[in-house]
Amino acid sequence: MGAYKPNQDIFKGEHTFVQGRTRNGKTYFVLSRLKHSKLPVLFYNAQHEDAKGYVRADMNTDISLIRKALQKGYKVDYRPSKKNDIASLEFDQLAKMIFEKNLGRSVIFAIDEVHILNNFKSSRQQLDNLAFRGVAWGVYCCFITQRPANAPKSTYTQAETHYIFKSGMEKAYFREKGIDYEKSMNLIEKGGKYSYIVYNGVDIMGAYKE
Amino acid sequence: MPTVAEILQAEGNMEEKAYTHTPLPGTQSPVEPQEQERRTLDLSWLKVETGQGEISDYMDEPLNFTKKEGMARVLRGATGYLGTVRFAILDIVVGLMMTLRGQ
Repeated sequence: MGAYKPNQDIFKGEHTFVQGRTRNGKTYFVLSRLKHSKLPVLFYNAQHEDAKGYVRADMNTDISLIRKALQKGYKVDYRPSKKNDIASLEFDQLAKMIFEKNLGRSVIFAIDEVHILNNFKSSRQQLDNLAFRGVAWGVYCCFITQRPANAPKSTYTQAETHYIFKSGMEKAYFREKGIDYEKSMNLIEKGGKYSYIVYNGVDIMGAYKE
Repeated sequence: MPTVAEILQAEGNMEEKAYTHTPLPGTQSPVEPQEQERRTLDLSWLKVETGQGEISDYMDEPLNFTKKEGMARVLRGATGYLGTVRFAILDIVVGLMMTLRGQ
């Protein structure tokens, strides 16, 4: 069982939605795939996962330097505060910087734990803005969550491709997208630990493993 | 893992080293690249004076294929830039074309 479109920049050109329970491989999947991207990457690293090959930033980093690093093509590992309300404010600033102030080039904005940001009105609005208008402006979002039912609806309705890892009882999300929950979980179960399926809006493919 | 500030500072230091010049003895210091980049766009070519004489003086120019005032005006302007449009090579080329046409 190989990986889905191995060694390809699967996040370029569209929004993607990556969901699954914690410790089932979704962040590792995203980070390892982002390595293949020729685009700059801003990774909103809510869980402070290890991101090798990235340059580190946090609330003490001048946002103009983050913008400059992205313009130069770097992959930035942004580690927000562990306090959700402060992390939300940090996200708002990053979203404004990456979207409202044109970087002059396309960028991948990977956002971990989007369901937490949904609790804050301003961040929810930024996520909606990114989801509905980002692709047209060259901002390709990768929305990552362990709770799709709590994520803003726009993040999974506007994503073209969904990468689904082992999930909890998120039937509302599966029903909304018209994905057969039972079939999906059976495929992932057969695939084993860290496996995932891919839903492109029409078909379910997989299971795969990185 | 380097921070954004560290990596950009390192890049900045490398760029500064690339621009360090040591002028040869007895020569003037070269213009720093940063100064060259700050020069404004040269639009002086827009102020070149047109060729001398009247439009009618250009009606019989070999290059005035149409024998009309519009082309004569173009030739006067070209004279302003080139100094002349009476190039020997043009006479040869145009002459050959006229010969082939039986003129």
